[in-house]
Amino acid sequence: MDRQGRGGIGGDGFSLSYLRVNNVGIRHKRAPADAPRESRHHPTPRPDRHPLGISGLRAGRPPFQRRLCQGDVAQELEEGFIDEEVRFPPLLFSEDALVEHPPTCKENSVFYARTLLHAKKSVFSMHIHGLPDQIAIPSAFQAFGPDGHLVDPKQEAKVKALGVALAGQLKNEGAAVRLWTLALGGRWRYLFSMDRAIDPKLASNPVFLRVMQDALSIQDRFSAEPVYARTGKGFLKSAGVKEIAVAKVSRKPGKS
Amino acid sequence: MNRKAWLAPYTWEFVTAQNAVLCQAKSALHKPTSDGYEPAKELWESRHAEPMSLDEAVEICRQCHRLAPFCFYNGNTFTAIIRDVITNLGLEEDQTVLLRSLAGHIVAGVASEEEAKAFRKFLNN
Repeated sequence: MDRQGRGGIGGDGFSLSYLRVNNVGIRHKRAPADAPRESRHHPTPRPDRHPLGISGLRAGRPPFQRRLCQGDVAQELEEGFIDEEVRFPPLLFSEDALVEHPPTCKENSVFYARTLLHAKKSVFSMHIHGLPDQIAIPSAFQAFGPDGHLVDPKQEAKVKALGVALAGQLKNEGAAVRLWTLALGGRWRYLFSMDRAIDPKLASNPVFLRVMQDALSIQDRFSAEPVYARTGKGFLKSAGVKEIAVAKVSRKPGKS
Repeated sequence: MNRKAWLAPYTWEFVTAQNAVLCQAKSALHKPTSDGYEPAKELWESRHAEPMSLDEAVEICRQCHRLAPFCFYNGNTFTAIIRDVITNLGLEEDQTVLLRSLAGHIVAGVASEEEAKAFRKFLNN
């Protein structure tokens, strides 16, 4: 994805996009404070551009796309998803403004910016963290020497710096990567990325992992809410007699 | 059963991290409760390293579950700990299964009086 936020979500663009959100091309040069609002955001408006700067939407498209543009920008500003200096005119996101000025432009900022913001939220909710930066190595078949190193020392230094930055980020993420996957029930499953507050020493503690596996295996039998504290009567879904039957079988002669 | 510091390896940080993981797995909120967290923490930290009977260890887990130190998934947080203690006793497998089930029911707060008696009787024998 380029700095204008153009481009689809896919390939390496997905993992890298969210860190680019703050750089999306909605940070236009600041016009004088007394300039009209439209001109502050679009110093050189083109005839095919929406007067309020809405882009990526066409009149007559399904309403969900309009709703997408009517999100709470203030909340996203508070959460730091977009820079403080990027201020959208409130009118931009009102239904009236959309009706009055149906957006027609494909290019530029806002729609893509908001798409990226929502993509970023989705990515965070899945506990996927973007790489701190990206480096593209063109003509890779020529870029590497026989010893596996990059031929260009500057390029190699850049890649090394990226690796260092990435390692620093992973360190901050604590045990997330180490415990991304866990053997449970005979299958490798993605279970969780652990909270940053968890001590990395615990994450590699075999007792901790053993108890965690057992606790996860019986999790569906328990109520999530603190029923026992509220009512004085606990809740536990019966697991049947399967476990006892298995133990009995193991006691039969020849089964050791 | 001998008196031993059964719960010593399970620090409060251990318990908290367990609950964090369990909540994470179910996308539930991992947060201490306003009324239950401090009493449960105090009880656990004051007792968990002491030598005690297995019956007492089960009772501490049950009490902490009852106090509900976390917003969600208190039950399997403490039940898994006592199940781990019993698994490591080195008993026969069928005895382990039976004892683990009884202890789990007691900590979960669903054990009948007969089950509690059976558990104590087993320990005394």
